[in-house]
Amino acid sequence: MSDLPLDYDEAEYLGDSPGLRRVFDNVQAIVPGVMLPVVKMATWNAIEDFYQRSTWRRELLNWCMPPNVICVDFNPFDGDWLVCWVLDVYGLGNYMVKPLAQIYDVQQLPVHNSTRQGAALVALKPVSLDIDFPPDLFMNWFDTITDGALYRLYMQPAKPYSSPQLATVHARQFRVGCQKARAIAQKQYTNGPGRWSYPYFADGKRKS
Amino acid sequence: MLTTRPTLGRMVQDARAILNDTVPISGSVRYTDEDLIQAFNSAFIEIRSKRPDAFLGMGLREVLPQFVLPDDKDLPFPLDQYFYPLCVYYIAGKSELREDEMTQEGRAVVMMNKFVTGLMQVAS
Repeated sequence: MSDLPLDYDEAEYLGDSPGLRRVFDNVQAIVPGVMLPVVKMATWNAIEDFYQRSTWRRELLNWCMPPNVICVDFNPFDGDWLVCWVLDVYGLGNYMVKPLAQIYDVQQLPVHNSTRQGAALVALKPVSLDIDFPPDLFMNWFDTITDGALYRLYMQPAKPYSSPQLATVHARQFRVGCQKARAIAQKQYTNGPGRWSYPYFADGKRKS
Repeated sequence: MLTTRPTLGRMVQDARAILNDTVPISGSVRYTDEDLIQAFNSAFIEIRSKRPDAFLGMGLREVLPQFVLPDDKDLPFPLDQYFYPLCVYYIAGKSELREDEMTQEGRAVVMMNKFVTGLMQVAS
């Protein structure tokens, strides 16, 4: 017999996060015959997708390009988070963004001989399911994450729990949640009616 | 109440119970441990092809192990316990498929179907 890890141990798949445990409990209580490693996979996909679609976690990073340097890479943001989108760049008249998080100064050559500095608004995504997620994720977006995990499970073919109809319902709710999160993030994390202001393009800004 | 996880030895015993495998007078068995564990090895491969999600913990790109008795008798059942009764049905069903005067093909078909529907559907 081979030396494979044959001891099926669900506890190994449970992290310490009570928020994650709540998602796992909800999904396993709803979906018949689903196993925890599959729930964990679907939940991780949902969380990563949520952060990418909603740009919920945003940071303003200061950057500095020394003379003769034309590129800044913002990745990795830290050990737990990566930059997934560059939303806006301040301080460069002419720039190019190369995914995931590199900005290039494409101004005319003489400019490169000087130090340039500015800031960039970026959106972050987690690197894995094992990190400590900010509490607001499961406090405000618990239903959205659960919907994201459920639609991924119901969408799977040839499983006892396959259900295209339920997948459609939960997928729609997940996307609505992501759009709502994005709208709130764009309003500087205020979820009220907001004040009237000039449109973003009135002072020459790009849409984030 | 048993709180320990079922072992491969217990799984083979459960299959023997369905097969009513002990010959009354001699007390011998018709199916050897080797026959029954080979049936389980086949079930393992069937589960791998129909329900790959069951193998996420073990690794999806690993070569599947072949179990032998009595060496692996005390080994815990290697998958989620959801699959335990299905494997018992498969072992009994596959054993009933063998050509001899005691086998009943109808029972074999029922048990093999129960295995497949249990893997693929909620209503099984």
